[in-house]
Amino acid sequence: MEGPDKDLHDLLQSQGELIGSIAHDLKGLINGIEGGMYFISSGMKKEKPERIGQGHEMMKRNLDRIRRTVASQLYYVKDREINWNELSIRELVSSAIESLQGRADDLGVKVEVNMGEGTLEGDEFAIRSMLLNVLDYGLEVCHRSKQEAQVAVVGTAESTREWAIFDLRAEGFCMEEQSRALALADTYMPRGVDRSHLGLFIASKIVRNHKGSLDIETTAEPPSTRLLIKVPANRAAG
Amino acid sequence: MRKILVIDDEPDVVSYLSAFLEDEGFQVLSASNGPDGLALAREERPDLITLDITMPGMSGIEVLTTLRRDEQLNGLPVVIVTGVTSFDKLTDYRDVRGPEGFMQKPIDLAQLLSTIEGILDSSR
Repeated sequence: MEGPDKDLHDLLQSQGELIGSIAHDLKGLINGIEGGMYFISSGMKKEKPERIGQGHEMMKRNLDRIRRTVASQLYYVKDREINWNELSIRELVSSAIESLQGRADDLGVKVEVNMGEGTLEGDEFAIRSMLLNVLDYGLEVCHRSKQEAQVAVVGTAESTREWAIFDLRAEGFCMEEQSRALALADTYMPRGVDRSHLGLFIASKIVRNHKGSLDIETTAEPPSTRLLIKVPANRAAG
Repeated sequence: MRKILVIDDEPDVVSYLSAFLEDEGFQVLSASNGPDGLALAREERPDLITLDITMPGMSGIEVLTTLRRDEQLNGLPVVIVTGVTSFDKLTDYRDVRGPEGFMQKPIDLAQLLSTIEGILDSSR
């Protein structure tokens, strides 16, 4: 098969894999919500307030993940008009870390991002989604690669006159070629890649929509993956 | 009290299964990865193991294979609890005895309990 037929075949195959991946993710999220419901109902029955609180946290965390997953899918299937606003780097990063801290604690992965002052002009929903996707990706890969070594997502976020720069590293993990191809693909997701990294592809798409760049550097020993994201600090610069 | 070892890398699943099984009167141990699970199985000799398939590092299939090849542990009943849709597709285990039970996530608690009870009753 060649030419347009092959492109269409690849696209359809990619969409099929994506649907399979979403279904798999949803299974995990349903487990989390059902688990939360179990804690709440059994906590009420046994009159154990701490169990109810645990269930509430579990449900909240999984609902946040559903929200992020849906936002990512929407970004994947439909191009959004950028709703330009001036955004505080500190607020963006703090809120992203706050959203993910519970899961990071559960997975035993440290998250530490030094935040500078400064702003960037961009779409708040999209930039927030980009940061959540990148940090979530870091958490997942650090968790998966976790052996004896300390694993962490660390980095800096700051803004200069021209650029907002998010320099993040997943320590303890060296990104495989597959994921790099996914992150850097510019149309639809390549076939056969690990679909759990869809968030990274979405993040890359958001960065490109803001006329920015996402570069990946890997180190095998000690294992580390650096995601260097640069977004123009204002529309004029982009 | 009958002892169950839960091996799963997803913290919410471990909490959920542990709470449910404790409420049903089991003693529950848990591990978030294969090597820790195998070490606990050797130390604690549980009556049954619930085992996830997709885990970082050592997969559930590798854990099952290791258990089956271990003279001390090969009699331990194992129930696979996984998001993978069909165990038939997971062929790596075929040179050892398969699991005693297979359940898909999302977890059906009633089915899980009846599977576990059935296996434990028949192994008495």
